[in-house]
Amino acid sequence: MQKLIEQLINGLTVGSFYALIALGYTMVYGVLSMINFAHGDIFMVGAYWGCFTISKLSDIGLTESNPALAIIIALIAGAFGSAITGIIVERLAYRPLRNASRLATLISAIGTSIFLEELVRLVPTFGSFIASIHFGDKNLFPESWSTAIIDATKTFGGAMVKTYPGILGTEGITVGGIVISYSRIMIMTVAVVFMILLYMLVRLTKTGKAMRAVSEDQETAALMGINVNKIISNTFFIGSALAGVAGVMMGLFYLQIRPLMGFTPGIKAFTAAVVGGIGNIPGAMLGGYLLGLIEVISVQFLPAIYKDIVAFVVLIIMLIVKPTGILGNSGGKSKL
Amino acid sequence: MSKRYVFISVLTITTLLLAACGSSAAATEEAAAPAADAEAAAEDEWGYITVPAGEKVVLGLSSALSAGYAAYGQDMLNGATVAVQDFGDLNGWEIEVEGGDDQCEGAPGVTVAEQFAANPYMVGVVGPMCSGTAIPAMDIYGEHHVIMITPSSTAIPVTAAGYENVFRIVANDDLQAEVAVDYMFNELGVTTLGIVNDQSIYGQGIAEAVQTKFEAAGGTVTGFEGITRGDQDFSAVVSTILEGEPEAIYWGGMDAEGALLVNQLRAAGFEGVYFGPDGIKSIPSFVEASGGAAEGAYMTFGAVGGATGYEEFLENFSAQFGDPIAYGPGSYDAAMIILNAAKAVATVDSDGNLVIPKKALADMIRATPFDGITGHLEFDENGDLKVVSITVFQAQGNELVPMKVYDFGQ
Repeated sequence: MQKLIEQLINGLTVGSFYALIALGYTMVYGVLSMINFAHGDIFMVGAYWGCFTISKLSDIGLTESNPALAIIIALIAGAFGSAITGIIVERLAYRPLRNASRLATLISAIGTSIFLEELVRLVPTFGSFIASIHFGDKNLFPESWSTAIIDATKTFGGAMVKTYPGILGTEGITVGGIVISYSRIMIMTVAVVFMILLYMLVRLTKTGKAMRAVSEDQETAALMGINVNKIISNTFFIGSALAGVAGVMMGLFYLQIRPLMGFTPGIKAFTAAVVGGIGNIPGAMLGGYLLGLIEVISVQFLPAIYKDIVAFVVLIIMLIVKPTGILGNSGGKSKL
Repeated sequence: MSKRYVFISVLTITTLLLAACGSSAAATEEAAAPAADAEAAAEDEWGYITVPAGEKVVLGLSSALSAGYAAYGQDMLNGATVAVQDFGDLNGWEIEVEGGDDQCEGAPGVTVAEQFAANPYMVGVVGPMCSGTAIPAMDIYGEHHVIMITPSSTAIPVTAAGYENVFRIVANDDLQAEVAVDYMFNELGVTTLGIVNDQSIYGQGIAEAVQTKFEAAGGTVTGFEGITRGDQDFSAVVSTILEGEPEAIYWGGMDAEGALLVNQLRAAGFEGVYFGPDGIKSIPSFVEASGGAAEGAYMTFGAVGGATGYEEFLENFSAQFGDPIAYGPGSYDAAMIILNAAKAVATVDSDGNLVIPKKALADMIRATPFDGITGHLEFDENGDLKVVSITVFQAQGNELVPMKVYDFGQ
C-alpha cells in the first residue's frame, strides 16, 4: 500500500510534465485545428534557455545564495524562450500555410521540429562562425565580443548533454514512511498553479474570450472585430510558455537536457491531449495525469519494460470506447 | 471491386520486388567479376588499399558524436586525433582522422560502416564505441576486410563472429561482471542485489552476467528491471527495485541514464552501494550529471592508461582537449596499432602510390604485440587481448579513484 502511494506520487510528477506540455497541443488544435508537432521541441528550447540562465546565475553565485530566486528567474527565462520560439514558428512555418492543405502544415511542423533540434545542436558551430566573420584583415567583432559570442553559444547548446546544477537536491519530507522530495512537491505545485492561471485566463479575460471565439468559428470571430492573427499568436505564446516551464522543471528535476529530449515527452503529451479530448483544456490536464498514473501503476504490477505498452494499450482501448477523448465533444470540432 | 484492387496491387508489388531483386543480384555479379580478377592478379587475398600521391590516408573513427553519449564519443575522437599527430606521416602520406557519428546505435553505425568501407583510402577503423553498434557494423567491416579495432565495445559477442580483421583492446563484459561481483561480494560484503539495465546488447548482457555470477557466488538478486535508453523518469522502476530492499544496486548501461538512476535512487531514500560497468566511467556526464548523487558509486573499467608513454600522451591530450574521460587513451592505442602495422606492411609501387595489403595488415596486427599507453596489448586468435586488467573505481568528490586492480590471463 505504501509503495502504491509512492508510485502514485511518481505518477503525478510525470503527469504534471505531460499535462503542461499537452496544454500546448490542445490549445493550438483548439484555435487552428492543427497538430503542432514541433511542440516537443519548443519544450526543449525552453529547457535550454533555462539551463543557460541558471548556469549564468550559478556563475554569479545566485544559485547558492538564493536558490528560490534563481529557480524563478530560470522558469521565467525558459517560459519566454519557448514562447518567443513558438510565436516565431507560428509566424514563419504555419501562418503562410494557413489556407493550404492540412498535410502541408503537418509536414511543415515536422520540418520545424527537426530544424529546432539541429539548431540547438549546432548553436556553438554558428557561434564560432559568426565570431570569425572578417573582411580582409578586419574582424567584424572586436576580440572580446568574439570570445563572448563563442562562450555564450557554447554554454547554450551543442551536441553534448547539458547539465543543470543540482539545486533541488534529493531531500524531502517523510509522511508515514513515504519520502516525498521537495523537488516533486515543487513540480506538482508549479504545474497546478500554472494550470489554474491558464484556466482563469481562458475563462475570465477578454483575450480568453477571444480565443474561445476563434476556436468556435474563426471567420465569424473575425467579422466581430477580433484580430484573429493576434489571438493565434497569443495562443502560441501561452501554450509554448507552459511547455517552457515544463522544460525548465524537467531540467531541474532530471538534471540532463539534450537536443532530442523533446521527442518522447512530446509524443506522450500529444497522446495525453488526444485522450483527454484534443482542443479541450481540462481534458489535456486530465489526460496528462492519467497517462502518468497508468505508467507507474503498470510498473507496480508488471515488469518495468511493459510500461509504455500498457500505457498505450489502455489509451487505445479508451479511444475505441470514446473516440473524441474523455472530455472532447462530439463532432470533432474543438472548443477551448 | 476492392478485392480485385487489392489483388492487382499485391501482384504489382510482388512483380516489382522480384524485378528489383533480380536486377540487384545481376548488378552484384557484374561488380564482383572485375574485383575477382583484380584479386586473382594480386598476391594479397583481400586486396589492397591504394593511396595515390597527394591524397591522404584516412583513419576512421566510429563513435557517438552527438546526443546522450557524445562525451565518450568525443573523447575517443580526441584520442585518435592525438595518435595521428604523434604518429606523423605514413611513408610520406598525410593521415587524417574521419569521425563517423554512430549515435551508439545499430542502424546509424551500419551507415557509418558502409561509408567507411566505401572509402578507398580507409586504412582502418577505431571503434565502434558501443557493442550494440559493433555487432551489426562488424559484418560490414568483415565483408569489406576493413580493419576494426574497438577500444570500448565490451559485449562478449563482439569478437565471437570469427572475423580476422576485428579486434578488441579491452576486457569483455564477462570479466567485468566477474570483477563487479567479486568486489561487491568479497570487499563490500553485499549479499542482496537489485539489478537495473537499459535493455541494450551491452547493458542487458552485462546485467545478466552479473545476475548469474552473483547468484553463483551465493548472493540473492532481489529484482531485475529494465528501462529504456533516452528515458528520464525511472521513479517507477526505482520504487519497484527498492521494494526488495537490496543492499546494492547494479546498473547495466551508460552514463546518461546511470546518472539519472542514481539520482532518483538517492532521492527515494536508497543508501546502499551503487555499482556500474565501464559505461558510467565518465567525469562530466556521470558524476556531474547525477547532481552529487554519484558520490561513492563504484564502476569497473578496463582500459586504464598509465603504461609507458602515458604521461607524454596526457600532456599532449590535455593541452588540446582537457582531461581524457574514459576511452581516449584506448582509442589512441587502437589508432597506433593500426598505423604502426600499416607502416610495417606498406610499400610504394612503381606509379608512386602507397599500397597497403589488407590481409597482411590484419595478420601483422594479430602477430605483433604492442606496448601502448594502456598496457601490453597482445591478441589471441579471436582478436581479444591475451592479458587484460580491470580496475574498480569509486567516485569521490569530483574524481574517480582507483580502488583495486584485477589481472586476467597472466
